[in-house]
Amino acid sequence: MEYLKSIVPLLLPELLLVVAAGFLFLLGISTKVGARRAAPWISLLVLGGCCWLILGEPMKLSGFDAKGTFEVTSFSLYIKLLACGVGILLTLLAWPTNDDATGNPSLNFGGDAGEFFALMLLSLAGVLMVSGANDMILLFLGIELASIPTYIMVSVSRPTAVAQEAGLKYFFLGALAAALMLFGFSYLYGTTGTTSLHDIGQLLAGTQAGPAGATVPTAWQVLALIMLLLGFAFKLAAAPLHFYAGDVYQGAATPVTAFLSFVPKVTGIVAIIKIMWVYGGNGFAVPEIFAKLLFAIAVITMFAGNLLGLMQLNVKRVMAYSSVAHSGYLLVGLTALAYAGGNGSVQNAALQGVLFYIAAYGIMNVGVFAVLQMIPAREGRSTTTAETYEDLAGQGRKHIGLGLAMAVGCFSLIGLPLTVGFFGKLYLIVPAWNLASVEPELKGKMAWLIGLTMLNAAISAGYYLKIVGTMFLRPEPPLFGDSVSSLPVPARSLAPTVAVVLATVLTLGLGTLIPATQLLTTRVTDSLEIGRQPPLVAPDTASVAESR
Amino acid sequence: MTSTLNQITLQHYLAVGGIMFVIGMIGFMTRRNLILMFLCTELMFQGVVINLVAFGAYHGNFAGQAFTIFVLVIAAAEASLALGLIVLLFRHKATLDADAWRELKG
Repeated sequence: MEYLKSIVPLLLPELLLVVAAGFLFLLGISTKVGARRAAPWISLLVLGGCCWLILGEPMKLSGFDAKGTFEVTSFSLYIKLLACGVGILLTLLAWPTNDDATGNPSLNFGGDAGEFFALMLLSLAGVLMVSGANDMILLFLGIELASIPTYIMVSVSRPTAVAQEAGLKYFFLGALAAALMLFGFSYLYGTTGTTSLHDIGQLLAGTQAGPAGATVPTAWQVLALIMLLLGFAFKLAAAPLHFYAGDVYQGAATPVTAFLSFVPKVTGIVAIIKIMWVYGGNGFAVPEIFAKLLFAIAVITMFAGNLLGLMQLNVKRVMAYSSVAHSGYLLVGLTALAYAGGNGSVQNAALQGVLFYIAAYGIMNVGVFAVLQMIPAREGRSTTTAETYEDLAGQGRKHIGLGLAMAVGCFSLIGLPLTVGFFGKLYLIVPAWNLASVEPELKGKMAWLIGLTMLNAAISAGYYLKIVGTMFLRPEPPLFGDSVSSLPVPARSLAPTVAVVLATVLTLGLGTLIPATQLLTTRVTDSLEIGRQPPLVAPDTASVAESR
Repeated sequence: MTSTLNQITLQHYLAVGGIMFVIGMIGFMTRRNLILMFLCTELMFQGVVINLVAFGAYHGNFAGQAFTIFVLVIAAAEASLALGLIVLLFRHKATLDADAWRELKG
């Protein structure tokens, strides 16, 4: 009982999401249109409630449970707020706007509206759990809770063979990645004898040596690290497990694609940050091999994403490889964090940069996908909303609002000034720059890192500008068959419009109002307390046993 | 009897676990039957389970066994999901060959 009392207040947002998901599963049994219409409203309310819980009473919510398996820190609160906030935008994207509430032009879950939104909430609950996990079992469960619903969401998002093929592909590779990750966890447990991330960090801290105070892991721990990174790379869609992205993102319905490009990425990044904290011996003083691995993965991921993105004809595939490239940028920030060793201020800045970039990416990415889902496909295609460049041609001139929103989103994804993407990239690169000036021996490496990141941002402009250019400059290609109708008219429905407006306003607002951007980053200033010390008073096992 | 059992050390268990994991991975890469591919991922999970239990016994705590229970739960959830997805696909084309599904490419 005592233990329950200590953990329930900490887990309130997660519990709220899971309970609401259970209720939505029950609601999904009903075949009434009203029940299907209520489902998105309920998930919107619950996500809003979670935001309110997280924002409103952060002091009451912060702390550890009695056994130190779950923690609420400013780091985890930031991730939770981000997941719930972007979750609201993603709910708006998936809003059923049909007459019979079975989906919207791009999404068709039939009568499963309740189940669909329940899966969405469960996946978000997984992200929240990952952000607070201080135990590898909980970390693994959180990652799986965030992933397994997405496999189902991909499959039920459209009643076509393509979506189910994508779902199966995603599932099989996800199971493979989970097995790799588990193998890493098993060796990490085996070499330390504990599953608590905090305790493992303490044990590794005992091996600290060298000028930077980096830890010295054993060969088995390095093997565990490589396996864990492989598993997390799948969630991030980072090299070498990035190849599924194009197929899965193309097969899933557009709102689900937007979900896939954000939620698993957040779990992956948070998990890598936690593992870095552990391998750094309760800090980020990670061994050099870790930093080298991150460097290699970051560079290969950026190039793979951007070069493959240039070659695609399907805009959803382009956005898939763009998402791969953005994982690479996030890993650039983590590489700077890894090389920073014991340098506190650079570490702080690097972590803040990464966390800010996740938020920026979530916002601008949702904007682009919302526009994509509002533009209908041209006649004679299997899908109903825009997928290829032809579908976009000329739509920006016809519908100036959508065109401008797409332009803002794409410019932000490139990282042009006046958008949030610019500050995102700036905050990722500045720590590396500072590190090079503080530690001369790292100058070469950091110069390469910064240079390659800039080069990739330039390459990525190739396909982002092609999207914008197609919308505004390219003449509309002749229609198939009858030439009666002109360009198809975008779906006019409230929810995706609100999502587009919100995402665009946030992208421009955070990009132009410097104080707003600073506010967002100072919120994560003290986020370095990831594996904080559990309460010094050991849990009173006798009283726990009695109360049972 | 006990002496022969005592000769089985942690390394032996880890070797078995590792071999199962690698066989599962090789099978996943080479097999093209959806059910067999799924069984191979299960084999990888069970290899990890052997590792966890062996490490748990070696360290003399129950964390490994506790982890194992959770891994089994996740594996069961994935099994039900896999069979559901495979049945869905089987309704479109009556085949279990992974190579029959080539609509997404690029």
